[in-house]
Amino acid sequence: MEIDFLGRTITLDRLAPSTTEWIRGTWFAPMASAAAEAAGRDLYASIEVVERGESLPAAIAGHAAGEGLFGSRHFTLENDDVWIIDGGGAATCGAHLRLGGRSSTIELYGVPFTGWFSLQSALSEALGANGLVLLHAAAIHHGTDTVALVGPSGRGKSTTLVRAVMGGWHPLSEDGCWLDVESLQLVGGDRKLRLLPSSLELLRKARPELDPGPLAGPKYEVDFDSIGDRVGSAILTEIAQLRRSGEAEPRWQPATPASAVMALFQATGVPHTSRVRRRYASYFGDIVNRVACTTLHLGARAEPLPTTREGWSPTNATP
Amino acid sequence: MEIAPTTGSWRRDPEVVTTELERELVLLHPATRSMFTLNETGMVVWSFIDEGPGAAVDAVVAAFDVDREVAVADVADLVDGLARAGLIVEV
Repeated sequence: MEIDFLGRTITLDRLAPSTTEWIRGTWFAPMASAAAEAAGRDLYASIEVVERGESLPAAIAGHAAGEGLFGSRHFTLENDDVWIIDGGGAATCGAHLRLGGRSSTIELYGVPFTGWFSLQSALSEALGANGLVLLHAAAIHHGTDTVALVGPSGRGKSTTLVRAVMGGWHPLSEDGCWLDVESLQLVGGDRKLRLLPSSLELLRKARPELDPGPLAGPKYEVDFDSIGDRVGSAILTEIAQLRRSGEAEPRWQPATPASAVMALFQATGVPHTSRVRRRYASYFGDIVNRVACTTLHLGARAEPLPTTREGWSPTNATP
Repeated sequence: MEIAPTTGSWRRDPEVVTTELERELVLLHPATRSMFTLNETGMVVWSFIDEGPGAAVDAVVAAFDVDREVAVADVADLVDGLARAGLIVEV
């Protein structure tokens, strides 16, 4: 089975139904609305995902590995030949990624295979090598502005998204979105919002009918489409770094391109392979020259974030 | 660790990833996940560090028309910082 992923082809071969379902549900449903945008561009890239039906080799499971994306661990055999294994002590599942020019393969090990972190990390690496970057970011859209809100976990991305929606912005993503580096097309990848109780309380001021269901860990899960008029994809115009400050009101401020590059690396994590690390460095240098770079001081009060910026435009501001 | 930044030979860690911007250079050390920003002076030093701190001092003097004494101090500070961060290694 082949799946188009913003112009890149992912071939699924010999996968267990649970693995196919995970990939389809987690990765491809959000892409449907955005696929047409990639038409006509030379984006050919092929990623073959194969489930080996074998246990993770003992030598691999016991290998001392570096910390990787999404809680996975990784170690490199050669430059573009990488094992990514699920985090934790006794790993039983992993992905063996071989990056090619435009063709990469991912072999999955573990019976049954449940190494979702390693699979996600391997797919992200392979797509990252081909111009499609997964950003850990909330994103909002209004008029001609599409803003990726970036910051470390706990900085307030989800709460800021809720505040923005209450202020008239359209939500695009809460936690994860895909960025096509060449076109700057940003595609939301979330099906659920995961909100702390305080953020949920804020949202219910605007949507009292919202039924979040039970707590899932420390957060409530809310259906993304229930919070407002979602935008499936849009062209990125701005990267906003979130900052906490003692100021009462939220305030937008120009930021340096260098700080935006660092924020983007924080939002993607450091790739496993040196090839993709260099690609990201090149991508990010290009991106910050094409979009506005700002800082959003969040303000002391969790109130709606207006769509107006009091006459200030991020596109003509200088840090 | 004692570092004598204006003597010895240094080379950039080949694993360091760089993003070059108009007036800044962003350095990422993948192992430590540390990130640094160099200004225009730092960019010159980074460019010449493989040729030795003396070459970096010469380049700074030539590029920015500063006294050699000032350039030596600036390069020493920067080499010290880069070395402590593991971005350059002594050879």
